[in-house]
Amino acid sequence: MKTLLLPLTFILVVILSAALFVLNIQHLQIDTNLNDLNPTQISEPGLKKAIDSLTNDISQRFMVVIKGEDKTAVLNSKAALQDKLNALPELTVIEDTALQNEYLDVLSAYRFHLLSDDQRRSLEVNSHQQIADRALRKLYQIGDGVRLIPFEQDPLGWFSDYLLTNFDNQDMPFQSSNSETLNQITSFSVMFSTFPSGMSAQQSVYSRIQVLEKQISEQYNVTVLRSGMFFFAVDSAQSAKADIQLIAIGSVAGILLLMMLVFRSLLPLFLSLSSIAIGVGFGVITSTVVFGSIHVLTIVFGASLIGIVVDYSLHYFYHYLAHRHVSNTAHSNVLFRAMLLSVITSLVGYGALGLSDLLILKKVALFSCSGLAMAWLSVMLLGPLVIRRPIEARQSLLKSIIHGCQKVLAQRPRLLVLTGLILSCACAGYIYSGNPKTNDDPRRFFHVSESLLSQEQEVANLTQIYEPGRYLLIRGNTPEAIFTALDAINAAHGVEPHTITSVADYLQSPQQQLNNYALQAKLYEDGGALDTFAATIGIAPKVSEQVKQDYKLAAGNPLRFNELLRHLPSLPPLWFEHENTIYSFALIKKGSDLAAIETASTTIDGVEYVNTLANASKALKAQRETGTTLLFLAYALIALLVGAYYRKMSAVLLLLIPASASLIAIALVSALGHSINVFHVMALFLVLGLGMDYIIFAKEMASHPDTTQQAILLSAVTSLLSFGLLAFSSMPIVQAFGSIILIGNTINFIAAISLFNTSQTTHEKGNYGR
Amino acid sequence: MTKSWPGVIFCVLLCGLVPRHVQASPRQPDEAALLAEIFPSGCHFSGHFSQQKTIQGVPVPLSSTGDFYYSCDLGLVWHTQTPFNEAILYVNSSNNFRADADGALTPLTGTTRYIMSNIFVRLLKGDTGYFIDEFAISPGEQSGRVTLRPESEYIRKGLDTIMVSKTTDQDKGVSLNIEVIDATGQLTNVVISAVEQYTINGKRAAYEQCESLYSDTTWCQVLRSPSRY
Repeated sequence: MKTLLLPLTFILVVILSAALFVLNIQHLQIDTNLNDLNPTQISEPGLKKAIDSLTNDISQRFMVVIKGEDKTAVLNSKAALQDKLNALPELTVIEDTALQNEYLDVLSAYRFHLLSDDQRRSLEVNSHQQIADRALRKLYQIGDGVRLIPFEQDPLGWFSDYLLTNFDNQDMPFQSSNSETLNQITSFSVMFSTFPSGMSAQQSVYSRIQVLEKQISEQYNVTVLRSGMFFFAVDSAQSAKADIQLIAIGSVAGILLLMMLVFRSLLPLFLSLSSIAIGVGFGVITSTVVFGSIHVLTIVFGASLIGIVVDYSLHYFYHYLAHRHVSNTAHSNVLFRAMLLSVITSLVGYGALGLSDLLILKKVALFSCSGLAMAWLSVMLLGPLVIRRPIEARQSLLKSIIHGCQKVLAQRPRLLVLTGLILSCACAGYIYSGNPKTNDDPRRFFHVSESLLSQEQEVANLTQIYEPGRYLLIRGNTPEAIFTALDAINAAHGVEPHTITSVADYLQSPQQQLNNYALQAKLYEDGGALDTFAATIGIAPKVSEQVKQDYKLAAGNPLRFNELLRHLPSLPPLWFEHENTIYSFALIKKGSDLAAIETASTTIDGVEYVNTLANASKALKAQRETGTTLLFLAYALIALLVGAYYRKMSAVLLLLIPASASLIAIALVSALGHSINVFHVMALFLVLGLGMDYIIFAKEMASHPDTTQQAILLSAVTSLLSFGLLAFSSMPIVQAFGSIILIGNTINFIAAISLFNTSQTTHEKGNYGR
Repeated sequence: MTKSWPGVIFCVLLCGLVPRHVQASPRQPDEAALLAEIFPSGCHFSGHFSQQKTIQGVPVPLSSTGDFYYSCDLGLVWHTQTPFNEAILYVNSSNNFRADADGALTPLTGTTRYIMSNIFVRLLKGDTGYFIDEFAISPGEQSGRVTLRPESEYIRKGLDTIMVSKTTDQDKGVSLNIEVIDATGQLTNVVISAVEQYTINGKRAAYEQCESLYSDTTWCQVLRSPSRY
């Protein structure tokens, strides 16, 4: 009864966890954010929040472009598509007209704080009479004296003049979308009012957008193009989903077939499948608890865990079969030791992924380590229940495969070792001489459909006026510091006017606005220019009194960007305040002298030129290099561990197997024309972990090499099945990972069954199969 | 240096706020025909104008009169004589001036430049392509009248409608009636009359014609060499 207590408790915990999991299944979020491949470490919490806010904003917008032969059709199709998109509950079309009206409304409320440079100069040099006289003359001129707000609110026309002077058709921060419909091309932006959570919801929105586009395209004979991170994320998620299905179904089907072929019993199969379910389930729960969601790429990588997890039950059964004639205690000790070492090496391999700065690898590491640990625990606790009934393994098939392999490879083990070492040295030389190409461009990590890419390119060519991935980051403790820095950039040597778009294009600094307000006293104080003007033109006293009253009420309340953002949520969050620091982003227009802007940024306090692509590539390169160093460290640590445990140099030398496998895998992948990236390097940790798994298993069961080889064969087949399927993924990063492990682990397997093929085979005792 | 990576596609959607022009549009023949009815036929002409502007909040309409000279080669002199003496000199979209009664020149601000240079001067110039591109053109309720409505929301912020009609009288000659309604409903009515056409070849001849009209000013020199002012 005592021996049953722990397994039963475990089963109870698993059932309870499963019940809780099922009850909360609606909270399970599958994350498709591509930014998890971002290697950048931002230590400044405020900056991190600012960038997160901007990134989040960007990911929740997309751009639609409509092209057509006929101007009217383009205009009508735009209106129709906007209506249809607005009808989707998740989407809101950003209408430039509404945006401009709202902007005008906000500015209008702060009109006593706004002046152009010319107006400031005019207020400084002109008398009340001159100002009133000029306002009067403007009223007579055709075109001049145009009012953007009613005459009663702006009788002198200064606010209208300010707007029209500062925001002409080219400089307006946002421009009418109608103007470009004149050219048979129109565009508009769409925001997510409610961002769909989860893959299926996102796919549903994506499909509905596609249907609408098709409808409009056919109805009006126009071409509809779109661009946005949302589409890339959904497209990647769909690729990932296909990979998950391929890997999961392939792995499970392979395991089912193998287990049934070998054991011909449901009990071992039950343990294997239970350990897989418990391991994967726990991985999902842990990821959700720690990260709030589970990333779709984690599931892709995690699906390959099936091939590793099943090894524990295989090891367990073969240990049982090998030692069933030995006393219970002795058997338990050997079993526990081998199983523990096995899980430790796997945990080291997967855990090493967590050392990467890539969030996605951290997530994979957590998912895999927690899943492996739980699967191992389930095998150790449930295994004794399974082997209560006799288990028989069919050896004939496995033996014939092993003997076939050995016939080819293990006739002369020394020659095999020598060949392996020579090949490894040649590969090391090939790698050391710098032959493998590397590529740290994050754009190569994704697989995006050709259609999406071409649309993205076309939309960018037609609508994008800013340098993609390049911007200025301005830090300061006060708004004035930000605006001063922006002024300094605009005035810097080599920086052409109007090449930077920033908060300064939307409003003036608070201090400048307060100065403007003070200057306008000349207009609106008693006896000021307004009174003079009113007397000349004969407007009703209540009109001028109301304006003067409005002026007084506006005292000390300049417009701030956050206030503007509150009224116009569709504006990009170019301004972010955290504790005592303000972070502001400035965009660089296409065709600007980037070198001059970068040089200028180095000379101005608080300004940083950011090239996101270059930074990301640089960070990924650093990751690849650090990963390589860490790999050497992992080898050293495992060598110490194995040396300390076995106290034999020969045991330590066994590390040459995964090392050789790694060298050959990298050289082969490179020779096949692939560029090496951080994911190839990270996969080498698993080659080490899996290689050591086999070695330890073989060492621990040295007295039963026949059993060992069968277990290793089964283990290798399941692992190769999982990782082999990864290698055929459409996602380049998954493919990189899978191809290295496929090649590396094949070499591990060959070495394990060839080098541990001693003469003891023939003397192995016991009959545990047919 | 702090690195940041808010996504490789950083600017794509921000840029979406600012779409841009891409292609040229083909001419609409019916619109062109409507415009041809009202546009001046010559390239060099002078005349008189009277203007009346109605502003909500101002008790009486604001009336002014004056004369003008337009040449395709030089630009426009818009000379207000009453209630004050002032001239506006439109050379091109970037060089425009106000000339006071005492002869002092002041460069015009963007507001005037935008509205006057891009619309009014083009109207006198008979810039069919511009109006087809920027305006919705339709026949007015009265015969011979054409209504122009800006298609750009930006222009609509200031300008709602322009209505133009052209009349030809055997005694008074050609006169053009232009009604401008701005975004706040303010109506400006400009009547151009006593139009005299000139047959001029070249900038020098255009300048000499200008000088004959405004000999006691520097206005024609400003039109000829704006960069010197």
